[in-house]
Amino acid sequence: MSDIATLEPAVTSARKSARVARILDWLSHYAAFSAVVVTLIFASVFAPAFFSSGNIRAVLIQTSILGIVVLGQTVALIGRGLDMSVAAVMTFAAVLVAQSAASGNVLLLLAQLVVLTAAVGIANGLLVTWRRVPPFVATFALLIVVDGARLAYTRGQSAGSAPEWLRAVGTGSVLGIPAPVLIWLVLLGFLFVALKATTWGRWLYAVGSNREAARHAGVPVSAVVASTFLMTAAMATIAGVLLSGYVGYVDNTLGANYNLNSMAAAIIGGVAFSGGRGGAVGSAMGALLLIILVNLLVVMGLDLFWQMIVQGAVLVVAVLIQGLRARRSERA
Amino acid sequence: MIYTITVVLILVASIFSATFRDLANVTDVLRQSIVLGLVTIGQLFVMLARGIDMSVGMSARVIGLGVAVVLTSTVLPPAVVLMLGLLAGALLGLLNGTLVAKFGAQPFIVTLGMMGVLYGVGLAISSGPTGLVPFSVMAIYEVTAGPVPVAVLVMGLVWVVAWWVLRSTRFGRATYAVGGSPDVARLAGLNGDRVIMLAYTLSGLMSAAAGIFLLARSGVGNPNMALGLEFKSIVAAAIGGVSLYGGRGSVAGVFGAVLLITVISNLFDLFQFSAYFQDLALGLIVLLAVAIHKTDTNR
Repeated sequence: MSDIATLEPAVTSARKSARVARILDWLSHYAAFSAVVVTLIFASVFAPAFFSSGNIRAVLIQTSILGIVVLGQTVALIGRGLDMSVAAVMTFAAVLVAQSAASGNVLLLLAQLVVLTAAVGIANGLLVTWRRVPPFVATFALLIVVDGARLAYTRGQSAGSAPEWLRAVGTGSVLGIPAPVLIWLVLLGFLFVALKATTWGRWLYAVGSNREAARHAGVPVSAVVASTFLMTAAMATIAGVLLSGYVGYVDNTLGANYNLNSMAAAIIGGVAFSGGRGGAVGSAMGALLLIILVNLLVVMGLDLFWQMIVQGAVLVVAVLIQGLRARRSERA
Repeated sequence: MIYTITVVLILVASIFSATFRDLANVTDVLRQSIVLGLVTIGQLFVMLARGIDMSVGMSARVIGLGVAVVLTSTVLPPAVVLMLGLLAGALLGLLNGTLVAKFGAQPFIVTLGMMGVLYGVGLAISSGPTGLVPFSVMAIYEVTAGPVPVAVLVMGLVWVVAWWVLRSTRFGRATYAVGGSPDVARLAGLNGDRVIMLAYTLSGLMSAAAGIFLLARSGVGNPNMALGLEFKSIVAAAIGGVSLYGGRGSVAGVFGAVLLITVISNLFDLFQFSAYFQDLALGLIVLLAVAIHKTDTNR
């Protein structure tokens, strides 16, 4: 009897800790999705204007543009990297778009965009794989270079407007669905399949979980890591082009918040900062959550600064959930 | 290594530019180095403890703006307001440190989130120039002892104290131990959490000091102040030989890097290098430094 009595508290505490672990586990998978649901319920009560068809359309388009950047960021994070240069690439791509509006040369624009993507992606990839520079340092160096190159290229005057054909893409619809949303969903579908059902996807998770083990198993680790940075650069370029088409003009601050937001969306969507975990759909939910939250603040008439505070806070909360979860599984 | 580059650059610049070797410019360079120096010392402690602080720039801005507003609207003596500003900065740092040490939050991401939050708080305080700073506060920047600004002398003292703390105090040695090898540090009976929290607190304190110094320089709360300081301080630390994986780095190395970066931007100004090319040039220098930096793969 006395044995059981002394065991009792230990058992209860073990049960309690298991329950906490389950909650954290669940949160890390469904935090973004459940927060989206809660936010929508909140919106329906306190800000019905949120559900006007014009606003829903705006939310979806903004989500799709952030969502495209997040697709790249997700891949980088799964491979235990991250990309701080996406915002700079977006803005540079948008500047190139504005210039093509003046010249009307679409082929030249396409070539420029490909060169931009390849140059940044390869530079990041080489620094991380060949020079073994930590991803955030490498991509941060590229952030300064790309921003600096844009400033030098435009002499500070990057204001301009998007060409007509791109305005049509950015604001147009196909079967009632905004074109950027369609593009996002197609890319999302591709990535979903690529992560779930291709060799590259398996390699990527392996590289993110355990680099050494992956190398021993014959995975071309450097090539996989390099491919993630090409992916982030490509997604950032596409997002920058679409964004300039959607807002119609280009200025120096166009891509500004996308570094922080793309990481926040992926991490709240369940992608582990420590690599190897997460997927395309969770990240998409994360992007949706961030845009809904920010839009809700606008609809409710709150000041601009609340947007920044909320975006930062989402990132802090996301990383806290992951931190606590990782700490528990370490102990177990 | 870093000193070779710094010394060569200073020598070459001194030979070719009379303006550069002018005493007024020399003291100017030293005074320009103060903001980056303060923040990078804080960053050094955090990085030694295997962390990173992305919130330093926005902490400096929020404290600078907050102090500017409070100075204009209160009867409290300026010295008290400045102390409260430093305290607030230290508390922000402590918050970061607690999130990292007690909640296991990944340092880069959590301080990046704080950076976003603080950016918003800065906007909330003011989106335009705000607050008039009394002359007694502006004196922090301006007062000189003979030809040398007092601020430069005080900063010299700060460098020496930082060097002494890391070299000769329990906390300093514990910082190296906790960052270099957390497991061994724990076995040796060191309280790793407390060391990490203290390092971030120190970083917050230094950021607040940098914000106050920026305020004293401009005389008015500037909502764009301290832009990019987090990146510059990390670059300075990295160029100065501080390991991004914790446990290795020195005050001397960081001092050389801060001096180098300040001299480069001073030369940009002296030679009226087009503002549009300065960022690109700086970026290419960083890129080069990062690319040739030999990363220790044994850790």
